[in-house]
Amino acid sequence: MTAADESMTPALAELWSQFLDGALEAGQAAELEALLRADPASARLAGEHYVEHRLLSLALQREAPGRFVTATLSRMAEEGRSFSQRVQQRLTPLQPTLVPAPAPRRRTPAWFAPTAAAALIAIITAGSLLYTHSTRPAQESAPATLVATLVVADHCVWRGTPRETGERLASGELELAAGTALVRCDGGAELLLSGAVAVRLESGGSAACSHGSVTVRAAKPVAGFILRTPVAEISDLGTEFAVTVGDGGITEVQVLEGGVEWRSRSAAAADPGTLLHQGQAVRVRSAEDRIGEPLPVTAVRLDAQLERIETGAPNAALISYDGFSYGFPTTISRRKDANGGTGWRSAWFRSQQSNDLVIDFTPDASLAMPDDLLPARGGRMELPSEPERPGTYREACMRLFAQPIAMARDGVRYVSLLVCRSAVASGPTHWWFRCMLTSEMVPDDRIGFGILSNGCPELMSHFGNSQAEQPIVDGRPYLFVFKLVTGRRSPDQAFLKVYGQHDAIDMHEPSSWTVAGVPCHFDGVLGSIHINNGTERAYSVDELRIGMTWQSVTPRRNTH
Amino acid sequence: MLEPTAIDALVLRAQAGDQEAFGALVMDFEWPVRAWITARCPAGADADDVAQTTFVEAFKNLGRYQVGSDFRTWLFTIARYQVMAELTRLRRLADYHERYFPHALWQELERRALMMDLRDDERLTALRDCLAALDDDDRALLTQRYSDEMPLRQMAQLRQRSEGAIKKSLFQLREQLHTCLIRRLRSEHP
Repeated sequence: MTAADESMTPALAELWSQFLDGALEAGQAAELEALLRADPASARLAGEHYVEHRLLSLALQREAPGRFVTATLSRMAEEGRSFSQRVQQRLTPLQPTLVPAPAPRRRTPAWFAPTAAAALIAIITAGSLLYTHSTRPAQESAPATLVATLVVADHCVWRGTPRETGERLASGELELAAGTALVRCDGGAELLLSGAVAVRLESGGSAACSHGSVTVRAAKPVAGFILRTPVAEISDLGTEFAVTVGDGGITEVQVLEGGVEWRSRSAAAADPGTLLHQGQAVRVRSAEDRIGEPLPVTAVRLDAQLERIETGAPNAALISYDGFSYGFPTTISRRKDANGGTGWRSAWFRSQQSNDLVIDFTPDASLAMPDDLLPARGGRMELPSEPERPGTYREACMRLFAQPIAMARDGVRYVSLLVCRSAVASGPTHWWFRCMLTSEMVPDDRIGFGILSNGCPELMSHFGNSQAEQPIVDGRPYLFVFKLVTGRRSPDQAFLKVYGQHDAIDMHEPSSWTVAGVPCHFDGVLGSIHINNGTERAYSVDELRIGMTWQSVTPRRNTH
Repeated sequence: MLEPTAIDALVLRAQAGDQEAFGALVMDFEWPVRAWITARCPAGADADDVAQTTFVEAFKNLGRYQVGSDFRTWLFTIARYQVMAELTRLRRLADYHERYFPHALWQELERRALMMDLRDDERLTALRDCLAALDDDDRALLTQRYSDEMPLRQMAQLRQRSEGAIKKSLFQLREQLHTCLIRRLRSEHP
């Protein structure tokens, strides 16, 4: 008799029915939990019934025949087109072109009315052929693909190219002589490298380790991350595992959470491999070893290793700061007295350093920082509305920073700024906000972030804009954290993360951004910051930081 | 279902860039893959999105498939990765845990995701047969609940019955379908 043939006890059946109907009360939930935990047979039976429950949803789903196939093929074509666009972009480095923002990733299927299959196939073939056939030539002739980000580097001594925290990493060798580094692959997996270790980043979803210790944690719903060693291939099944490669490629695999599948390098591709579950470990001695030798699990969890890391004093990497602690409510550009903070080459001014345009502050009233961060002190800068003024924008508040950013050099900069949009509008249309890093010589060379009139955060450059889907709430402060990656040979790219006051602030650079900008190439030198708004909505800003690390622009309460 | 030789012929064409051939493979494996994934994803997961991703990943990695080996097993290995990743994503999603889901059932789903039991499309077919045998009003009730995801209260108002009566009807219909399903599967695999 199988589990499916058995019957639930009346008590379990009653609770189960309530659970399926979403009508379980708290006490009943505890009771159901206890029944399922106490009896593995009941849990298996519940599993059988849950399968039926889920299949019932599928069987009753209303959809036109062929919609799934059409939507799947359409998605393949869409991904193929984005791929070919990326290839084209890499093949024409350093030539500014307007690149459309990538379509946001849909979590729901892109259902649409079915069209004739033949017509669809014809439409998608062009894109997919590029996808299939352009891969190899593009990879051979184009610069290496960016596949990961160096999120944390603690006392790292690199062999070969020195690396910088926040740097985007191309596919290829990454060799650490000492220290600890956290690498986040674009496919979502995180690799913690410790001590002397050599890995080759193959793609956003795979890497090879030739010696040393790596701890891998999956972080996103992607195909299983694959780590290859000289003797084995380990596939992640949504998990955390540690791998150590010793002399002769001898590989130890320890599963810290979930499960992995490993197979020896000599095994055929169709070989299903061996499953290892949490708490299991194995030593693989050669590429022909298909069984492995059991081991105790001794590896330390990735989070525990990260906790030991000293990320350094945040202020050490802070380049420019202004907390807007000014003792006056207004000044004019010509006075040059709004010159607080550190790391600046000028006082605040509007358009020109010697005009009489007013700059507004609210002394002794800061915006509220997110709960995890050091509170703001002093006052804030105001960007009032000007409904009586014709035109769409106010003259920007500007300031020159001490360390200009050369876009043609490899580097990473972070900017954070508290922004609050007034709950009151003085007109119907021009409600936007912008904070741009701008070239002093070529004003069109600029990149930055802002808020659209509809309230959605946005990344902007003259190469194209990308916007978030969720608007901010008027009258509430938000911390905008902007990251700019610049490169000599690799594309420049900006990222934006927006936090509300009660959001948990990521300890390290986040794995997902509110908006990721369009990869682009330009060589300008950005030397000033411009902050302005539309004429029909007031904004307040506070706590402006420019730094070289994530931590330097998100100083936490417990670090001071 | 296509024969293995026909599947391999389509794979060879797809590996050479023939999109139409891959479309035929998606068509052939649509319901086995969707049923297998749906049966292993909890409510709240987007099972069809996971199924689509499975096919897209299969297409991207088609060059790694060795013609002559078992395409079905290869495809379901990719599906298994995708389901495990989806379960991991949901487990880490804070708001997902605001709704109650028994821990033991979650473990059971994870256990099933690691198993390569590929008979869920048979179950789906049998379930469709069982649904077809219901009377129209019962099928309409299930459609409101499972396809339209209508809250019990709204169903009760619409049918001018109490919520308790609706719950009881759903309970009885699920029992009836379960019995029908077991009987049909047993007749196919005595």
